[in-house]
Amino acid sequence: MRDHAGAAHVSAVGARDLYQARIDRQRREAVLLAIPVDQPHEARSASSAEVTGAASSASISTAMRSGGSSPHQTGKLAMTLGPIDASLVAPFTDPEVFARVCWPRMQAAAGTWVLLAPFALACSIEPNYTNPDGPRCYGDHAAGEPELGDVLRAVSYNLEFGREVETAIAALETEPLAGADVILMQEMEGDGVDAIAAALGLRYVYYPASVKHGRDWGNAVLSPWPMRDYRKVLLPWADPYTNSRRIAVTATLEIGGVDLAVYSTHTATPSLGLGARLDQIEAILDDAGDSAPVAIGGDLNTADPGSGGQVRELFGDRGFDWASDGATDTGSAFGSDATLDYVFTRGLTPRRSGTFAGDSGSDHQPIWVELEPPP
Amino acid sequence: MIHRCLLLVAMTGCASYSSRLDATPLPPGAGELGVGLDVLLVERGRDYIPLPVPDFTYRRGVRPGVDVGGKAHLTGAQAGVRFAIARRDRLAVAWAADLALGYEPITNNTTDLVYARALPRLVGELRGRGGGPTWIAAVAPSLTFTGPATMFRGIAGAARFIARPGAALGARWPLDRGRSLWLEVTAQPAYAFGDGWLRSAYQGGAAVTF
Repeated sequence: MRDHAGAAHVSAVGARDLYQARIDRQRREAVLLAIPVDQPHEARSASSAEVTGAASSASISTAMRSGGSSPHQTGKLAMTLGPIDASLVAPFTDPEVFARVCWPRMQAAAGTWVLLAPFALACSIEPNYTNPDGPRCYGDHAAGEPELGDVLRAVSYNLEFGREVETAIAALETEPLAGADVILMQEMEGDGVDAIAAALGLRYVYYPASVKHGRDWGNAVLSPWPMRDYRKVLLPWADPYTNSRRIAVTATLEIGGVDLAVYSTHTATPSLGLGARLDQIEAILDDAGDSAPVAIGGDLNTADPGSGGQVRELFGDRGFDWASDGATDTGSAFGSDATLDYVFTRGLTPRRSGTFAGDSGSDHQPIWVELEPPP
Repeated sequence: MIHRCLLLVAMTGCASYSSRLDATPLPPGAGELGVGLDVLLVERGRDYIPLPVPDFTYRRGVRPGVDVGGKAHLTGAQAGVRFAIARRDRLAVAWAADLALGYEPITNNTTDLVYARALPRLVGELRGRGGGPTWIAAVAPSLTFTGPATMFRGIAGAARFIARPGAALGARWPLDRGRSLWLEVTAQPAYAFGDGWLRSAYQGGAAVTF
């Protein structure tokens, strides 16, 4: 799996032939039935790399870009409702008039609403990667193991569709983000993660959660430390408008002889009820179990009033510290600054934390946390 | 901050459960407008939060013992008919049936956004003496179909039926010039078929009709 010479690998685990066959079948069914596909649209990078076995960094990027388009890309439908008939609010002075004039018009208006509502409510359905095994990208650009310092630094970084990778690299080479022991990234594409890892000399694991705007969209864990036991955790509930599903990416880092479990996650926006978003966090907490030390971080989308408090309370109930309590106003939500990004830890002692003040190339500012090294 | 509060109101189940009906349908040709402000106590996340629910009502008598009307609130509306069933001295009983449509999350824990609700109600009243209040009790169950917006695109895994064996208590005080002051509280337990019991919603508030 790992090439210590520095070449990157991409691998989809499991029975890849069966997996590819299932994707092909879903594509055919999607074409035949013209319905959305709620499964991985294709193992683009994975399948390309599997054919060739080990692939170079360049070939990963090429494979990611040339993998083809989503089988079900839908355009947004725009419409406007017609004017409301004034007679609907006119006085119903006569039962006969009501039955002859108003009632048919009310029926027509209700019918119009029912017929037009689907178009008014329609949003692009986003294909999800619901296979728990992949696709997955793993790469190793690290040159050996780093020295364990007197502080362990963790960063959480939502790079907004992974657009400004060069800006992200520059930010991650700038204090206080520079030299991070673990970087939890969200809204990434595989080639962007690989580019960052290559520039910083890191190992990484990346899983896409879904496809947005025709591009993979997922989370990654990057670290200079040896990495194993990486998995994707499928989170419950789907977005009510796009059907997009969320995930957490977990890996175990071997830091100075101690195993540290880390999770990079991106929970749903407030278009999903807060209860459902807390269910998503509970799924991660259940996956973590009683393990320690463990760090969970990412964009938790606490944009709506009161949600941040309930999220922190939920973590607190499971024995986690809000390690990033000094990192506030990490993004903007509906016209005002908001704390959207977090790192929670258990079995580690937080020292200090903050929000990166420089150019992040994103609608989020990365946050950093300094921790006592694992005992 | 105001944007976020508006978002909270818009996204957090502004469904209106107030009944605001007595057992006396309006006489034919008579109309009645109402403006109300309620507080909805609803589950949000793992806690309850209060939300303001302004609403507007209108009723009009269409024949003796029958009136029609409706209610509009932030992102939903309902309309229906009320029939007088019985009257004896100060006591009266009426039956009302409404259909509500809305575009809002009504449980806050799920992905439901669009709902259609049927509300059959049995309303009893005890009319006050000499300008005193009319006391009102209503059995107000409802059956709601709710689902995510994606159900219009063929993805309706989160759609469900929710039964609410609700009830309401209220009072109506006559004011001058034909106006009335209403006070009402309602409790709405909820059972989601397939999911079991949800946490109840509660609503209470005041309205003026004229």
